[in-house]
This record gives sequence, structure tokens and C-alpha cells, in this order.
Amino acid sequence: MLNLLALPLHAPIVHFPVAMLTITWVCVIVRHVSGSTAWDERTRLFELVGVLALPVTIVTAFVDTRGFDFLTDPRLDAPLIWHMAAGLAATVFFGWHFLWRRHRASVDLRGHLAMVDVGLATLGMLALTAAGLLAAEMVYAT
Amino acid sequence: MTSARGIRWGLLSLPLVLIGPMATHALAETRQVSVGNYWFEDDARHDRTQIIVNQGDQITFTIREGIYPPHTVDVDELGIHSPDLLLGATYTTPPLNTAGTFRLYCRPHEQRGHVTTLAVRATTSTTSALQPQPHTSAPPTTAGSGQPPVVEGPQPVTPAPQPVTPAPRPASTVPQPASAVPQPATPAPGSSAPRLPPPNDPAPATTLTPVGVGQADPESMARIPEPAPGSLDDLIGRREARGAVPWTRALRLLLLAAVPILGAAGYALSRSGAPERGPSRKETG
Repeated sequence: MLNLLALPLHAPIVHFPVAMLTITWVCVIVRHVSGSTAWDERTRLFELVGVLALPVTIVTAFVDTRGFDFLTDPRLDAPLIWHMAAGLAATVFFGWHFLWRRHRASVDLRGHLAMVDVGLATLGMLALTAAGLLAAEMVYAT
Repeated sequence: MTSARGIRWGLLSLPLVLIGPMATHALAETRQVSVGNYWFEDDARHDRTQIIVNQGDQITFTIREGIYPPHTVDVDELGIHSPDLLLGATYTTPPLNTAGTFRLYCRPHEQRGHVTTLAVRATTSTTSALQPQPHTSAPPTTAGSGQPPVVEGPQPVTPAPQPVTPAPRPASTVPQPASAVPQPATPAPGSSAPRLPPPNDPAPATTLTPVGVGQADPESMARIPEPAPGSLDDLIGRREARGAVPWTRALRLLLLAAVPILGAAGYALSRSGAPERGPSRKETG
């Protein structure tokens, strides 16, 4: 009998937050380049879907690794632990960005606040890129 | 006169006494099997559908493609259960003393089709034990059946299903824990191996290769396994050994990817002070 939990779960689900959060970063960049506040709402919606998908992605990752053994006995010379760290960093940055933006009006995103806005989204994007590159090493190279 | 003749006959028969066991028992050896995503491959026959060994042989499994969760080696009927095996790890079984056809699988990836057949042939002769055997459906020749050793032509490789009651094993072949001392590289197929004990004693007295987990030598790992049919490597024609390039190249790629990301962020910040241009034409409509 087919056991669904024996199949890879993290791999198909991780595409949702990856796609949504990447588009979020693009929306943030376009918003500041264009100056159009219409991009703020798009940013909020994409980021909402991406951030909500993150817990599911994390849970399925631990299902795929069959628990926390790789954390209790970590192999620092292997990419898995660093992939997880990068993924958690992306989660923190985008989650922080989402919550921070909820209390900011669009017209306020100038000067220092613009730096925080772009900075948090860009740090999340860099962490997401690192997690993706390490995942590629795990899937296709090691 | 009688004693001298006896001595002479005794000397003449000595080689027969010594060769006799070799003639009736196959040479036990350590077979090599590669493990990848998600296959087992008999290194001697390059066959992923069936692993064929002789009774008394050991098998050393070498992990040539890693994945998480790691691969394992499991044969329930023979009581073989390895711990998790990372890339480059080896696992050597105890001598396989029970003839028959068994299900060899990888516990974490069983649902992904990481399963094959392990055929342990009953040993009867010496000459064809080391050679790849064609798959035939002829009835098997079993040890101790009283038939003369069959030394010519193809031998049956898949004996009829036999009882899988484990044969009594000598104390020296009890599986060792996973933390066994790493073993040296296992002898290549076809290399000389010690002889098995005398006839009528199917269980070997000693193991050829330390049982348990070890580490493959780098030269062995340099061999590039053929990709599984239909796999991504097969589709894109990749023949590069996995792990040939350190995974830390991801960090260099990250630096490259960071250039456009940070460039775009910097450009956005430089424009963030610009006055708002208002909604686009579509939005106003």
C-alpha cells in the first residue's frame, strides 16, 4: 500500500513559498523603483501566501528527514544543516518583513523606512537563494 | 612391504584429499554491490534487477549516490539490517548461508522503488562460481544432493524458493554493530579468497571481510555509476560522479546571485526618494 508519508513532501510544497516570496521581493523592488503605492498591496498579498506556506514547508521537511536526528547529530560538512539554516533565515526575514509592513503606511516608506523595507526583503531573498542552491546540491550533486 | 605400499598410496591420495573440498565447494568471496538513487547494482554483472551470489559469499554494499534520509541495506529473511549509510560508506554482510531468493530493499526508500532481488545460489562446484551466470530456469542443483558437481555450461541462478529458515551461523559471523572499525577496501571481485571448510559443512568458519559499516576507498568512489534508466542523469546525459564537486560551490554561486539581487535593491533604494508617479494607466481605468 502506498504510504504518502514515505514520499518526498517537502520538495513539491516548497515551491509555493519560494515562488510567492520571490515575487514579493520583486514587488518591493518595483514599488520603490516606480514609486507606485499600488505595488504595496500586491506585495502584501504575495507575502501573506508565502509566509503562510512556510510552516507547512518546514513541517514537511521534518517528515522527509524522519525526525530531528540531523539536528541532534549535525554534520556540518554536509549541505543539509546549512540548507535548513538558510531556509529558517529566509523565514525569519520574510516573516519579520511581513509583520513590520503591517504597521507601516505606504506613504511612510521613504528614507530610513525604505531601507528597512528593501533591506529585510533583500536579506530574505538572499537567504532563500542560498537555501535553493544548497537544496540543488543535495538533490542533484551529492 | 605392505606398509611401504600404504605410504605410497597415502602420498598419492594426499592431493585428492586436499583438492577434494575445493572441487565440491565454491570459493567464497566478497561480492561488490553499488547502491544509488534508487538502485542496487551487482558490480560484476552490472545488473540492477538481481544480485546473484553463492552460498557462503559476503556482500559489500557501497553507497555511490547519497540522499536524505540515507540509504540502508535490508533483507528481512536473512536478518540483515544496516544502519543509515551516507555517501562513501560501505556495509558488509555476514556470509550468506541460506540459499534462496530474497527481497533486498532500502528501508527509507522502499516506497520509491529502491528494491531488488537477492539470489543466493546453493554451492556445488568451483568453476563457474566467479563468473556471471545467465538467468536460466533450469532446476537448481543443491548442495548435498548426491549429484556430481556440474562444472560445464550455464548454471541455474535462481533456485526454486527454499525455506528461508536461517542456517546456524558460526560465532565469528555475528553481525557487528554499526560502529565497527572502518574496514579497508574490500577485495576486488575475482581476487583470491580463502577456501571454504570441508564438504558437508555449508557454514564457513570465518568471514572474509569484517562485517559491518566501513568506508570505501577514494579510488573506488571515483567510478562513475551508470545513471538509472529514465532518471534525470540519464535524460540529460550526465556522467559526472556525484560528489565529484564539493557542495560548497553553492556558496560561490550565491555570491554570483547576490550581485544582481543587491544591485536591484540598491537601484530601488536610490529611486525610493523619487516622487510617486501615481497609479498606472490600467489602475486608473
